Amino acid sequence: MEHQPGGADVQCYYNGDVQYPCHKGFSDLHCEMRRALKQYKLEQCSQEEEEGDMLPALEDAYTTILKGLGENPARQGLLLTPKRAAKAMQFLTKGYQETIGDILNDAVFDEDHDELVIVKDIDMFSLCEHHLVPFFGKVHIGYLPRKRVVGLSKLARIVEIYSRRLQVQERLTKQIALAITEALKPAGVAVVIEASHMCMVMRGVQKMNSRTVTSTMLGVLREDPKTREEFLALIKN
Amino acid sequence: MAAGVGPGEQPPPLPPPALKSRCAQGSRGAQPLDSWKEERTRSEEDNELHLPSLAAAYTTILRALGEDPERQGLLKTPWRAATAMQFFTKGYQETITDVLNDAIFDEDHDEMVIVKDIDTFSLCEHHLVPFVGKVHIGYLPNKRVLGLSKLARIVEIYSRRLQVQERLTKQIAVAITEALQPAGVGVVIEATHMCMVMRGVQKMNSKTVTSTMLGVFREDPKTREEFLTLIRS
Repeated sequence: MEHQPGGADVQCYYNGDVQYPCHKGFSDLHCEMRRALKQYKLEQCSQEEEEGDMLPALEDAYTTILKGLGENPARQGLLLTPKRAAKAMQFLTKGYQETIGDILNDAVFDEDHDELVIVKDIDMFSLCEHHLVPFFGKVHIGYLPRKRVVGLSKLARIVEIYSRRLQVQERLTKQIALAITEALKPAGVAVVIEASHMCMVMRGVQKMNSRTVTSTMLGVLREDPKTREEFLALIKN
Repeated sequence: MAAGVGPGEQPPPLPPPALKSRCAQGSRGAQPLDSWKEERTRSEEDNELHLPSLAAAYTTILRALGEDPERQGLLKTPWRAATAMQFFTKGYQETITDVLNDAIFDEDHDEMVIVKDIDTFSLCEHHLVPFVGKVHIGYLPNKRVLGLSKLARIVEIYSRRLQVQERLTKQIAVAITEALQPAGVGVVIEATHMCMVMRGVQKMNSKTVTSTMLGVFREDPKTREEFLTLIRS
């Protein structure tokens, strides 16, 4: 990035071929931030455009569904429902648009810490890929760092990315564990999810109080029973 | 004895709500809709007939979301989702007359009858996302009582539809009124709306409470208070 002194009132920074004029007196940091924000907005626009392209097809599908269920899509309460339902569904599956690289945001830090780090009771909402009906619950994540730790909220963001998709709880658990492993190369990772599946509660067997628990243990949390036990005891309290 | 009514007096009968066709369902501010005597809009045959078009719609949805409908986990999803959706809206196939099954009995009981903590699962008609909660029903019989499970069945009929919580509450109250002509009816629903929890404002612990009080429950504060206290404990 070259710093080229401009006229008396302007300093200009070059980013490749694009010039971002900054007002006199603004710091480098501010210009960096404006550049990053512009890039982010461009990316958001293209993502929103893609989603917008799909909206009419989704709306038509939902109108068909309303008719097929015996409802009247022209009545007041249902007039905008296809659009709302389509947007809701896009939101509930927004994990497909995001990648771990985006959200980790370089929030991986060198830290001389080699004890268990646990973030528990992370609320999770996902969609069962078999019935397209929500399942929701809590995720507990623990990992044993090997000189590198991750920003705590990033664990919750990893959960968000993978849960906002059409999922199977077993796969969700494993994906979260693998993502943390790839990002941090820790000594061990454990992920436990306890969730309630509306496909079991609202239909089918209709068991209100049933919960499904899945877990993935990797590395030292898989091999060493004492470490695993410590993790499980800490998430229980 | 019903509070506010003198000994030997009959409590005033509730005025019958206007009959409305099912197609008028949902207009805000209008009289409560579905009378318990109305015709069904859907039959089992309709369900079979519409299943392929519903499944096709779900296949479109999967593609539009960027998924691959051919992958193993999603192969039968359109059919499963369509069948699930038909189940979630099976209230359109049922009428109160079917469900009550003549389970109305003459009983000289004039104290409050309450059935509380009835689990309810419905679909928000605005986002097609579930809302789940509990229904508490109380009524003051006027010489006629209802089989207790029939109250839960009335809840099922109206909740297995595309609903708005306010309308659901009112429909349940009106159905019990029409079936029994009691001295009063109270219905309270407390529910969590996934459309608020999973998306939008994303408030995990929010609950929506709606109530409908008819007859003596509306007019007499003591009766209403007794009902509200009993459902709280």
